[in-house]
Amino acid sequence: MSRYLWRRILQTIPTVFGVVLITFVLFNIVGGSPAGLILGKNVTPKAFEEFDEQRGFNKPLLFGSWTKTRALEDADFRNGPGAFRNVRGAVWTNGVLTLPPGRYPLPLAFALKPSSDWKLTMEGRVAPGTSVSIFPMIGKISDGFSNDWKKFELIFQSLEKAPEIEVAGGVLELKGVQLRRKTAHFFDSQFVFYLRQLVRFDFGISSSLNQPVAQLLKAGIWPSLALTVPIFVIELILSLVLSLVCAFFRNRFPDRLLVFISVALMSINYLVWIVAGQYWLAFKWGWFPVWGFESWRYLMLPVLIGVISGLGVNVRFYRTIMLDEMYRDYVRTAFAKGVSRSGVLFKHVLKNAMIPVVTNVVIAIPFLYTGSLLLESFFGIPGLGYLGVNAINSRDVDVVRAIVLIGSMLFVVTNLITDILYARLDPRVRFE
Amino acid sequence: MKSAPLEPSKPEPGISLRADAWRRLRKSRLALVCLALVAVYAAMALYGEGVYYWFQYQDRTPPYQLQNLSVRYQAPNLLSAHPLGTDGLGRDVLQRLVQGTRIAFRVGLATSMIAIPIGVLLGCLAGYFGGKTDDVIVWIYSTFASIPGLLFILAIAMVVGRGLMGVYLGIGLTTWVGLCRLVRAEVMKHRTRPYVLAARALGMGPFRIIFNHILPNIFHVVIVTFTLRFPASIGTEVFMSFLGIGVQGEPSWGTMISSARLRLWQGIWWEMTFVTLAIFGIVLAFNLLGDALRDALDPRLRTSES
Amino acid sequence: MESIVQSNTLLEIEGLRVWFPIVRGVFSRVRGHIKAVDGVSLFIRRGETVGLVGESGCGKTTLGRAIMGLEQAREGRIVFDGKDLSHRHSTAEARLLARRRQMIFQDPYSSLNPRMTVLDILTEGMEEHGLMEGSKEESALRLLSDVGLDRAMLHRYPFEFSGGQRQRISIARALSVRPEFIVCDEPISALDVSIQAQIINLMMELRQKYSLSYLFISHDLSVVRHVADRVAVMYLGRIVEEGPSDEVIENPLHPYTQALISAVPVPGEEGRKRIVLKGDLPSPSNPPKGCPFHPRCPYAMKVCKEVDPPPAQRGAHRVNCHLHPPGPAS
Repeated sequence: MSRYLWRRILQTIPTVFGVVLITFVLFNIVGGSPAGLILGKNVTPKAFEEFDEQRGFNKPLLFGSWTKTRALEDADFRNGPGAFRNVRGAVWTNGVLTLPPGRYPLPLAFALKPSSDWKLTMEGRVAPGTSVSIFPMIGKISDGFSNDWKKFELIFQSLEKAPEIEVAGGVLELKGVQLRRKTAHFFDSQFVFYLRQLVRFDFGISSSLNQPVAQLLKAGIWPSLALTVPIFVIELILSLVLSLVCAFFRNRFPDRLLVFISVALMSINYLVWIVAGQYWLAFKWGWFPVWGFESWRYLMLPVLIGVISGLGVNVRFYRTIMLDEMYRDYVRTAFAKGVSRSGVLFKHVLKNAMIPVVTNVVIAIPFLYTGSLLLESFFGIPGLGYLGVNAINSRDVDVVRAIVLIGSMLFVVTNLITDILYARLDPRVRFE
Repeated sequence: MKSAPLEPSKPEPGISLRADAWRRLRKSRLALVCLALVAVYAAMALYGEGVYYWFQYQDRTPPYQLQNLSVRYQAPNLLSAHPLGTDGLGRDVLQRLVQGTRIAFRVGLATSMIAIPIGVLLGCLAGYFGGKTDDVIVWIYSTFASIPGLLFILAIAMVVGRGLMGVYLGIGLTTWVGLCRLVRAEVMKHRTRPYVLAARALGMGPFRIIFNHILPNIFHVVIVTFTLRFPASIGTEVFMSFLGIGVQGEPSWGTMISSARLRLWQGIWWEMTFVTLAIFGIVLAFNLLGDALRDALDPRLRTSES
Repeated sequence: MESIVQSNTLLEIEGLRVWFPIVRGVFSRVRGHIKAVDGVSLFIRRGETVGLVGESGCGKTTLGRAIMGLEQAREGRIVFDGKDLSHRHSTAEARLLARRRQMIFQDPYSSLNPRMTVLDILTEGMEEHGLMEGSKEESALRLLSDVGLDRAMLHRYPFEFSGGQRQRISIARALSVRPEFIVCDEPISALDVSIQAQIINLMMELRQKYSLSYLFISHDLSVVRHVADRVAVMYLGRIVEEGPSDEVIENPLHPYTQALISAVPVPGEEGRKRIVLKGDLPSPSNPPKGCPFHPRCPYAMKVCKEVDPPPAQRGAHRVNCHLHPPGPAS
C-alpha cells in the first residue's frame, strides 16, 4: 500500500510541472510584460523598468547572459534617429547616424543601475585612424573597427556618471545601437524567477489592487466557498433524487418529462438565469437582496440560480449511471427473484451506482474553490471568481496566474486523494 | 478466441453503416426538427455574413450599426420596419440578432477547427504508437485537464487580446482534451483489430493506417463531439463577450445581453427576450441533435439499448 | 540442433522467443513476462504446407504474427528466403520482404475494414507496391475470380457479405500483393461447417496455382491432416512434436499429441479410449519447471519435473519428451 502511495504521489509531479510550464508559456512567453497596458502611456520608462523588475520581466525568458533594458530602446537608424535625436552633435541622414570626433552621452531614459555590467553593441564603420571608446570605461577600447559596416561591442560598468561614447581622430557612422545588461548569472531568467517565487509560495503582487496576491486569495476563498458549497450539496441531493425518479419510471412519462426538462435547462444560458433571476426575483418582486454580501440572505438567490442552472446536466448524468446499473445481471436477477421495483432501486442500484457518483462528486470539488465567476461578479460576492474576472479585465497577470495555479493544484491533489481512497477500498485498483 | 461467434452488434446486412445511421436518425422526429432548426440558424448566419461583407465592401455603415435616436426603444411590432423593436440607440434588434448568429457560428466553427485537429491528431498518435509517445501526450492532456476550464479560456483570451481571435484560441486550445481522450481510447481498441494487422501486413505505413483505416472507423466520435461542443462554445462566447473580453464593437449575443440587461431595468424587455430565445433555440437544437446522433452512431449504445 | 537448412527452405525459425512484458505501475516496471512463444524452431519448405496445432493460448497465433513481423521477437531468428528478418534492411528491401509474406485471419468480421469497399480493400496493397496491371477494376476482378466471387461485389462493403464470402475476400487481399508464403491463422474456425470445406478447397487450389507455402494454424487435427504436409504440435509456447502429417497422426510419440489425437472423433470408433488430460493449460507467464507438459502428463516421471527434455529424432519425427531420449531409437 505504501509503495502504491508513493508511486501515486510521484505521479503528480509531471502534472504539476506541466501546469507551471503552461502558465509560464502563456503569461511570459506569449503574453510578455503587461507593463504598457497596465501603467498606461504617460509613465516614464523608469516606472516600466521598476514594474518589470518587481515581476522578473526584465530578465531573459529561459537563460542568457545579456538582457534588454528600457533605459535605451534598440535603435535602428535606418528608420530614424530614435533616442539619438537629442544627442548634441550627432547628425542623422539617410538612415545613418554620424558622430564627428567628440564625446556623446548615451541618450538614456533613466540612470543605469550602478555597478552592473553593460554591453553596447553598435553596427557601424569608422574612417581610418579613428578610435572609439566608452566612459566610464571598464571595457577596453574595442578593436575591430574598420571602414566596413560591422558589428562591434563595447563592454562597460555603470557608475554614478552617465556613460559617454568618445570618438577621436575621425568620424563614426552608425546604423544601429543596442544596450544590454549583464544578468547575475546565466540562469538568472524569468523562468527561474518564477520557480523561485513558487517555491516560496509567493504569488506576486496584484498590479490593479497593489496588494500581495496571497492576501487577496485568502480573503476571497471564504465567500467563494460560502457560495459554492451550498450549491454543490443541494444540487447533488436534488439531482440524485430526480435521477432515481427517472430510473424508477424509466421511459415512462415522468422520466421523459424530466429528461426533456433537463435538456431544456441545459440549453438556457447561464447569463439568462442570472439576469432574469436578478431582475424578477430580486428587483421586481423583492424576494431577495439584489446585490452585496452582508448576510446569508444575500446568498440565497445566487445559490438558487446556481442549483437550477447545473441541475439539467447533473440529472442527465446520474440518470445514465443509474440506468447503466439497472442493466447489470445482478439487477435482473433481483427482479427475477421478485424483489419489488423500489426495493431493487434502493438496495441494489443506488448502492452500486455510488462509486461513479462519488467519482463525479470528488472531481467537482476543486472547482468549488474558484467559485462561480459569473454569480460572484453579478451579485457582488467578493470571492475568487469576482477577483478573477476583475483581474482578467484589468490584465492583472499575477492574480490570474495564482488562481489558475491554485485551482490546478487542488485538482491534482483531490485526484490523488480519490485514487488513494479507492486503492484503500478496492485492492484491484493498485494493480492497474 | 476460438471459433468466436459472429459478433452480435453488427447492423443487419444490406445497409451501409452510414445509411443505417441516417435511417435511425430519420426515425426520430425530434432529431429532424432539430436538424431543420440548425439549418435555419445556419442560413441566418450565412445571410449575416453576406450583409457584413456587403456593407464592408461598400464602405457604408451596416443597418445593424445604424444609430437613430428618434426611433429608439421601439417595441416589437411585426408590421413595422423593426419587427423585433429597436435598442437604446435605435438600432434594429432583428438585424443585430442575425449578426449575433453570424458570430456564434463563426465561434462554433473556428473553435472546432482548432480543437478537433489537435484532439484527433494527438489522440491517434497516442493510441496507435503507445509507449513514450503515449506517455507524453497523456501528460500534456492531463496537464490541460487539471487547469480550471473557464479561467484557462479567459486567461488565454486575456493574453491574446480582446476580440474574436482571443475567443477562438481560448476555447479552441482548451477543449480538445476530451476528444483526444476519446480518440485515443478508440484507436487503442482498433490498432489490434485484424483489419489493422492486415493493413500492416500489406506494408501500409503507420500514418496511412491511422488516417485511412482507423480514423474512418472512429469518426462518429468526432461528429458527436462536434455537435455537443458547438453549443458549448457558443455559450462560452456569449459569456466572454458579456464580460467584455470577447467580441468588440460588433453585435454578438453576449454584447447584446450585456447592454440589454441594463435596459431591462427600465422595462425594455424585448431585446433581452429575443436574444435569450435565439440562444436557447440553437443550443437546445444542437444538444438534442447530439444525443440523437450518439444514439444513431455509437455502436455501444446500440447493443445496450436494444 | 542439427542443420536443417536446405536450398528449398523458404522460412526458417530458430530459437524464437516472443515474450509480452507484464507492465504495472506508473514507471512501467516489468513484473514478468507472458512467454507466448518460448524457444520455437521450425522450417517450411517452398510449396509446403505446415500445420500448427495446439490448444487455445498455446502461442500459435503469436508465432504466426511474429513471422509476419506483427510482433517483436525477443530472441531468435526468423530467416525468410535466406534473409534474416531481424536485421535492418533498406526500406525497399523491407517492403519487399513484407510483401512476400501475407496473413489470413480467423475472424472474417473484424479482419476487413468496414469502411472500405471490396475494390479498395483489394487494390490498396497493389497500389502500395506498384503491382497493378491494368485498371484498378481489372486487377480487382482478376482477384475476385481467383477466389470465386463475382464482379457484382466489387463496389460493396464487407458487411454485406457472409462469413465465407468475407474470408474469400481476405484471401484475395492476401493474394493481391503476390506473396509466396501465407500464414493462415485458423481461417475456417469461425465459419459454418458447411462452408469450411469450400474455403479449404479454395486454399488448396490457390496453393497449386500460385505455388504458395502455408503455415496453417488450427486447433483441429483432422483439418490439418487434410491440408498439411507436415505438422508441428505446440504446447505452452514450444513445439513438442513435429513431423510429416500422416506419421505424426498415425504414430504420435508425445503424450500431448496422443491426447489431442484421441480427442478427434473418428466415425465407427466411438468406443475408442480417450486420453483425458487433467488440469488446465498452465499460465504462460509462469510455465512449470522441466517439461512444460509434466503437470498434465499421464506418464510424468521424476526427471520430467526437473529437466527440459531435449529434442530427439525418430525417423522423420522430432519430439521433445523424456520418454524418447535423444540418440538411436531403442
